[in-house]
Amino acid sequence: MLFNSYEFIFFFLPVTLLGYFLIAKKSVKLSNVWLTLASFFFYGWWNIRFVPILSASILWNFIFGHLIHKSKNKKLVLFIAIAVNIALLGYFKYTDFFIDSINRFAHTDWNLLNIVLPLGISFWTFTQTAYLVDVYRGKTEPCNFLDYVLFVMIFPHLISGPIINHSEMIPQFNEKERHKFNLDNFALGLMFFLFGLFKKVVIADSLAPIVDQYFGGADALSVWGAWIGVFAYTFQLYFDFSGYSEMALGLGKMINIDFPINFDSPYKSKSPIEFWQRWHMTLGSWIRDYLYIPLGGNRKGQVRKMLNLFIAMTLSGFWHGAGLKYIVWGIWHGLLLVVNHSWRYFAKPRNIKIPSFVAKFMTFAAITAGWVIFRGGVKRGLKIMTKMFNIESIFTASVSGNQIFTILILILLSVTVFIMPNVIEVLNGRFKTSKRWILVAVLLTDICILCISRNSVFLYFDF
Amino acid sequence: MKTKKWLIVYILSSIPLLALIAALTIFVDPYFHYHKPHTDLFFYELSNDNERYLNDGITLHFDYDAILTGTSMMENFKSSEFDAAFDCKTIKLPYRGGTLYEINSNQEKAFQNHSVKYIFRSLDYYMLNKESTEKRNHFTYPEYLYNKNLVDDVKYIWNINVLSSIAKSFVKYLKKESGITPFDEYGNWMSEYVFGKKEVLKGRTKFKSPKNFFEFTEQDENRTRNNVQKNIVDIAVAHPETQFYYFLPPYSIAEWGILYENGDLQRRLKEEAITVQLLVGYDNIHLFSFNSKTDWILNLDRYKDSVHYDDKINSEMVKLMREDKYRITKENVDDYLKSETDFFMNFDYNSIF
Repeated sequence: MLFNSYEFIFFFLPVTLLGYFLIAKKSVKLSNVWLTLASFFFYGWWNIRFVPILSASILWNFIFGHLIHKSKNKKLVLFIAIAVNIALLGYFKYTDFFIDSINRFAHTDWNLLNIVLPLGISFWTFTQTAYLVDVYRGKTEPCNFLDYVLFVMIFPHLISGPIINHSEMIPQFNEKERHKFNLDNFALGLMFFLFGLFKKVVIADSLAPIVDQYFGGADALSVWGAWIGVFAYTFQLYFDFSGYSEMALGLGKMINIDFPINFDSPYKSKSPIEFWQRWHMTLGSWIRDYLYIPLGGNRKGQVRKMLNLFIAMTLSGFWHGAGLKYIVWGIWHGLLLVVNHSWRYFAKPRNIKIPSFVAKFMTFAAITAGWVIFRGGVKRGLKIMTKMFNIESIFTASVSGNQIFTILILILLSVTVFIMPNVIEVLNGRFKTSKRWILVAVLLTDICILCISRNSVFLYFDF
Repeated sequence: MKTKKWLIVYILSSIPLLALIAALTIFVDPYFHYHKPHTDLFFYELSNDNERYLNDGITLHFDYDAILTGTSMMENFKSSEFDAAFDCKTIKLPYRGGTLYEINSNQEKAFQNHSVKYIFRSLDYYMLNKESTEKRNHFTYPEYLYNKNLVDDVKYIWNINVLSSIAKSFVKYLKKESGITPFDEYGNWMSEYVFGKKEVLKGRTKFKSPKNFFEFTEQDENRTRNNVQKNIVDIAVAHPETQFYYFLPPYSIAEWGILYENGDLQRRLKEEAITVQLLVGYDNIHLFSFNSKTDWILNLDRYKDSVHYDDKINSEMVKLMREDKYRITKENVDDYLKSETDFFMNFDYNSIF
């Protein structure tokens, strides 16, 4: 199921909330069971075949969490546990990429298996791997079965994160106060959900067909088209992902559970280092704690630090998708971080500073360049970026009325993204149960409900 | 304000606008999901972009006894020309890029509550060798418009695109404009493109000799047979009272050149042969092929790309079909296939430059 669907908003959410708080009056444990079952329903709604796979993964990791804790040879047990997780992820996500790559290099003609990817597998694999490592490190005791299942399954984060840490979550599941319906939390949660929903179904989903059109027709792009396409995608991705994360935050708030923040105005960043502290923040933490640090972090000298950063980012690129373009994107971010750390190492003792505006501009340009590859692939991405700097055609290329309208919207979105406070800052700082906010909520609700169902754009060239 | 009151006021305030929009959608009904259009009050636009949203409603609610359907190969036809030539009342249901399955599914629906005298339909070559239940990828079909389930109509009554259509109708209502896009214009794309040899060839200067040949396998043959049988033949057999006018559209010689260069020519000809042989021999199937109309297919100025011809060709096809010319029958099918194969296999494609 998706948050941006009628069945979620009008059926699943009210029923789940009602059941959760009613049952909690009798038993906290049973209300957690209800929430877990509801989450299974949420997951199985689209394709029930994935439920056994997820269940098996949960069972495996729960058992191995205990085995690691009790074992004399912790490292080996951890290795086995993680290997199976990676194998599962590898099979579902990367098999066809592997076959395709072999076909390309060895000129073979093996058939692709067309394996369907279980929803959210990248997320729940990472979440559970982190748990296993923390048990191994002694940072946590293995938890009981019910808590563990709920920790992995809890529906606000199941499909697209945030990647949650058990030490932040599990204590919350057993606090009695959190199991009492709280009107203020519910109202605030509702506002987070509405803002997130608006960002996704109104802004991101309006940009999507524009991006499809411009990236699809890369060959014939004018300089204006190239800039529109690139900005449209940069914003589509941001509003889509941050919107979904804010919906998750809001849903958590409704059940009095605090989920971690995932986005903090990332396009205001003054450096790539800062970007990864503001974009998909829970992934950034995960990469640091479970990739970068195990590789050695910064404990083995500067050169090794750069290498570890580079490897960690390249791998995380690969996590995003099974394709060369994702690896290239990861490598790009690895390079950016290496350059950024090197610059700091050089500039800080000499007190050299880049003006804030320049730094923000350079960061945004570098990040956006990565997104163009991420979305369009290496060849097409480079083509689009070349067309962005086709200076001559500024004077020869025509701009249509539609394009002017799109440019105005993109300028408006730029103001929102570069200058204005973000949703979290606005709601945490300014929301109160006043008449003005009723108007905001009503407008958001009505507009979102109209935009959840949009006509699909028929892509004629794609037959 | 107290939170409880705030929430209650919020919920109650969200309802009126949504209720109004729902009521408006049901009343105006721009996709004809519930009833015939109120053409005395509003203007209903039939747009090329909305074919898969409009066609089902037209099929269920309009008055007609003939259907003009197919892919972009028929979008420039004029219903009025068919009406005049065949003395019928035609609705036009274009499915650009549509598979045989899509188009057949729509026709089955038509027969449920209409008696249909004629079906006029283009048969596209590149849709023949496909799975018999194949629809288009990368497109989310509005199943909520195709079924009788009222619950999923929420996607129709609260839909920004539908609301936008209603808003346009209201602007016209205020100008006292009402009616509906004539079928002659529905799907028509003549004004959107430039025609001519330059557009067709797009900088190409020659056709290279094919490096590989695509073999027409047993799997290809079974798939084509199954697709054609289920999605073109069966419906004609099920309705002997209806006359089915099927035509193979006249792709330009450039398209055949591309097939030649890609090593796909023989496979295409085999797909056509299977199709044609399955279709001849039925009294109510009238099959036409305009491939031998060389004054069309060799004249690249009449095309906007390698396959799409101008609307005057459409009009001439109506006349020719009425006169039963260029028809493939049981008697001439073997000669037709042989002469067509000879022509396309031996044509010097580089002579067109």
